[in-house]
Amino acid sequence: MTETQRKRFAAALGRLADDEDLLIAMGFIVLDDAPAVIRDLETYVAASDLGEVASTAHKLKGLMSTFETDGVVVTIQDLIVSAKVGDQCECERQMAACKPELKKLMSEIRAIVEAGSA
Amino acid sequence: MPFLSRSLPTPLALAVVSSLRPVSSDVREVGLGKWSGVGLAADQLSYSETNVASTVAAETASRRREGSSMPTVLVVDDDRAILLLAEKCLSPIADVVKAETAEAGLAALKKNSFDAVLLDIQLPDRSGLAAYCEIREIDNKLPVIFMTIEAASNTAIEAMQLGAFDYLAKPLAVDPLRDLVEKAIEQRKRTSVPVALSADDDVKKGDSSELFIGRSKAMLQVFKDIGRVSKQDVPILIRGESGTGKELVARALFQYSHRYDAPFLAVNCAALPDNLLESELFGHEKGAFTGAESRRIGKFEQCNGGTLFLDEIGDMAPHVQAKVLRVLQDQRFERVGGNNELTTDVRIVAATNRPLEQMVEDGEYREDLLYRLNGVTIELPPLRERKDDVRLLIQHFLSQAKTQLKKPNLEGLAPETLELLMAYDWPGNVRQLRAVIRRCVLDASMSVIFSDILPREIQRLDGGRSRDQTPAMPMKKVEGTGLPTLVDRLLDEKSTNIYAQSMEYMERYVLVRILQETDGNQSQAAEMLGITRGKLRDRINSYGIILESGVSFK
Repeated sequence: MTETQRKRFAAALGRLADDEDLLIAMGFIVLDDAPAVIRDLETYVAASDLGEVASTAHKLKGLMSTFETDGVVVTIQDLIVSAKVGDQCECERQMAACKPELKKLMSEIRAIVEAGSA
Repeated sequence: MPFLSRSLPTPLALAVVSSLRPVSSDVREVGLGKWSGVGLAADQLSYSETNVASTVAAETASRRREGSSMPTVLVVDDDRAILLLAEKCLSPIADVVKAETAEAGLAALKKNSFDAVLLDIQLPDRSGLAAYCEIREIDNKLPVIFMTIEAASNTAIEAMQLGAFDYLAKPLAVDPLRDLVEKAIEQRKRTSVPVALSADDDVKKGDSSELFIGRSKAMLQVFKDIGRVSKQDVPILIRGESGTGKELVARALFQYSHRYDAPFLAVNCAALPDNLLESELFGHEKGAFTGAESRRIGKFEQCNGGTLFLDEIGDMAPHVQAKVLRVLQDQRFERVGGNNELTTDVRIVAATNRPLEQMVEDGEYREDLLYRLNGVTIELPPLRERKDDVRLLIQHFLSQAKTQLKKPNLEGLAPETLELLMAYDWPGNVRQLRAVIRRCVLDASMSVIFSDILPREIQRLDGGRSRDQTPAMPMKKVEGTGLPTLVDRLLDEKSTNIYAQSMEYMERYVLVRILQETDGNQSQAAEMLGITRGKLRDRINSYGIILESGVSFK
């Protein structure tokens, strides 16, 4: 990992006792699993299946929180709350807000995985 | 240590990498080759359908066959990153078996024994709580640690209420995870020890009174005395230290008497100021004193035909003593402020922990009243003098608390816990013992009660606190400002005697302060304090207050 990447994911590394290889290995898994979860989430939001939105968003939050505990994770938490109270409009809004944040975080994770593989 | 060595992957690393979908059917070879220093684009990866659990389970079984004596931990989570983290983190201390669904986890539990379980709150096939309940049915001693992304969720709280060992908030951190799992494994080892005392066998089925639990010589004498005198219509004086069960004896005397279907009332003579005590016992007429808005019927009238229990009868002002004596002699009395003579047919049962004979000598107590009360005396021994009964009482209170506090999974006491309880002197007697046992049952998070949740004075095995011993506090210099510190310390030590010790501290300070004010004059001090001189003298002796030039403690 580069120095910039270490700083970016300092909190995550701290939780993993500075084991960069472990973080990278977890990154592999997140990159593999997260896209399908995100697709499912979009589908459930579009279908107004708020029960599934809450549980899928919960799963996505778990995946992402390995790397970040604020930013997109907070937005996902808001989405969970909105789904639980049955607010479809808010769910759609928060899903829309999530997407660019998720894309950004995933690309940062990809970068450290690629750096680790180099 | 790098998790995945690029030159020599560990077997575990191979197992994890083999969970990656291979581009050929030979999982390990391709995985290894791909990992060996060749750059991988993440979106080029695809993962096999290989069940990670079965891969690692095979490796675990292999290690076991090699004679590994490591504990085994089951991790149940559908998040593969969590499974990876748990495996990496715990591999130095335990063999890890992973499952991605509740069903897979439960299947593993039914086939193998584990030392701890890490369980996600939300699983794809059922809720973590439902899975937890099924785990408890398989093995109710297995420590289960929940993992949840929402630490303060109601589900997490509910899990703790159900008896989960603990819970961890995600994202997980390596060190707290390892520490907690180590504690869980240690707890598992300890609960494998057979209990020394079971919480299931109550010595007194159907009869909840702990009074009749005892085989010691002293208690057998008490039972005989109750049998002998209960049906005789004479006053009884019960003597014994605080917490020995004097009220229980009084109730037993009532229940076995001819008056069992008449009222039983109790009055604590030390709890009321003298003027209120008189009114409480004898009633008052309207206008008898300020605040007497209407006539009040006292206990002697209410209890006509029944039994009146006068607890702490040594703490009674002289004029009240005189009226009680008259009731004992003639069954007659007047209400406070009244002129009409009333009659009553009351059996008096009295109790005291005061040295009444000494008080008579000091002029603090009426000899004729003592003579009337002392006709029949029942002596209750302190718990330290009936050590044979301690185990029976513990068993009774344990069983009682298990039911009342709804702890169906409680099995009993560990051997060292029982040993400490048996060795303690119990200055607060049976009442203290009951409170300690109930507190232990309440605090116990596992099925066996270990000594670490006992109050510190019992853990120290110092033979218990003597009645005259006080907590550490300045003895020579009476400041009175140490009460908050004292209470905090007693709370920290999980003391079950906080009220008595705090009151003792307060009382010491007040007595010395007032005696200093009166330059040692006990009569003046008693008047200022609003207590009898006898009570003051009694306290001076028990607290070791020296009345020489200046007032101080011994």
